[in-house]
Amino acid sequence: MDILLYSFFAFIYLLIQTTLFNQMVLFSIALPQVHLLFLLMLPFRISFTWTLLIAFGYGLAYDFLSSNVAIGLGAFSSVLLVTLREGWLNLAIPKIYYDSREELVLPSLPINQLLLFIAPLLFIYLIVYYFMDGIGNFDLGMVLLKTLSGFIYTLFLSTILIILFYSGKRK
Amino acid sequence: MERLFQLLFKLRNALLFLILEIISLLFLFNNNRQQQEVYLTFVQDLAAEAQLLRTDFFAYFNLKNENEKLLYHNQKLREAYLKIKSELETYKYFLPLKPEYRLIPDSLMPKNGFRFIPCQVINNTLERSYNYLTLNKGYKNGIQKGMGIITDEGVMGMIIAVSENHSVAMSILNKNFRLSAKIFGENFFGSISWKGGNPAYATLEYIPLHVDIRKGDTIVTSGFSSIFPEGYMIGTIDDFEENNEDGFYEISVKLNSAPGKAWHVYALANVYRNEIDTLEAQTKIFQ
Repeated sequence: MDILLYSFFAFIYLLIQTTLFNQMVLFSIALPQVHLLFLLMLPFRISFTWTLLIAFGYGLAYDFLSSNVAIGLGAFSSVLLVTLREGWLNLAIPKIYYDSREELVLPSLPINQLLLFIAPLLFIYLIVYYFMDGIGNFDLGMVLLKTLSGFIYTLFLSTILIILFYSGKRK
Repeated sequence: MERLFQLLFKLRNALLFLILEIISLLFLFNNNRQQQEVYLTFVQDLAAEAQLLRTDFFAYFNLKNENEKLLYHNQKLREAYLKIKSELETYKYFLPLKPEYRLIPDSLMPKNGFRFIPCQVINNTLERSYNYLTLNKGYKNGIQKGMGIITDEGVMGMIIAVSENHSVAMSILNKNFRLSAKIFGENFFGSISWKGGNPAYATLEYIPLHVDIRKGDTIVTSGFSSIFPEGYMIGTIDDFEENNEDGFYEISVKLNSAPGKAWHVYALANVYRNEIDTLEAQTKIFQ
């Protein structure tokens, strides 16, 4: 049942991303990659093995569905993102918020704590994504500019989405 | 085996992460030209580096063989050097025997002050008691009276008259021709001349009886003149007689040169000749 639910959510995220957010590029530089919220908010009760596989499939689906995206770029970055998420959990979220990893419900965290958790992961994802994208025609200035602008834009929109759609689950 | 499976199970997430990342990269490099070019360049560079490392690695273990090869080549070079050195020593006496050695630059020529001017014989007498050679070079070509004439095989004569484009030489087969000569390897000197008769033989005189000579010994120029360099081939001892009255040998020398067959000869230009002649004239010792 969970698999069907997550697949549905994934489909919704990808649909909105490709049809809406991919068209909302600011100054031809800042791309809001809001679809990452799906991976970042994945429940920790899902085993890490499955999380890796979901991230790979999700990233690859994003690559195929998006135009002007190098195939494999999203998959590579997504797998890295969920891997870092596992380690970052212990550092970013104090133990007072959860007893065990499986019991942690991200939407239940205070908004500032949640943003503190997802913001560095988002930034790393974007810098890796644009760095890999720039291979062969590397321009450090452009990579940093796209990363920073995309990061701010994505974080802003993600915060709105979290407030709008995940607030009900917060304690 | 069970432990191995346990270990693999423990590391399953790390392995899965690596596998998924590698698959992603394969997608990236195989489907995108921009990244593919960088990837191929990187792989080629990596392969070249690996090949270089491999070559260096095996070269290190092959140093012993390389060292032996170098020693072998060194030995061959040393042998070749000694052979060439020996040949150069030989040509100090026999220059220029073979056409290829005529190309030896002046810097490699023996330091005896002689230069070789190639000439062609245009007339040659053999049947007379006083024979002469006519050459196609004159003073325009640097020929001077008193220059020695040689062939590849040995002494031929001496220039006695020069015009602008031609010159005449007294042949070794001329009864008036005298040449200071010595036995190769000995420091006893005599005078060689042709007495008439067989044009293949000349006579060497004034070699003291106490000198140990044998048939076949080489007779060379003594160098006691500014005409011929020391040690140039004249011929070999064919026979000899002891003349007890005056205490000298009378030696029959088989001439190495064949005046009848000579076509190309060399005039020997002694660059110090004028200096020597002037000095001797001033001191009047040899007059």
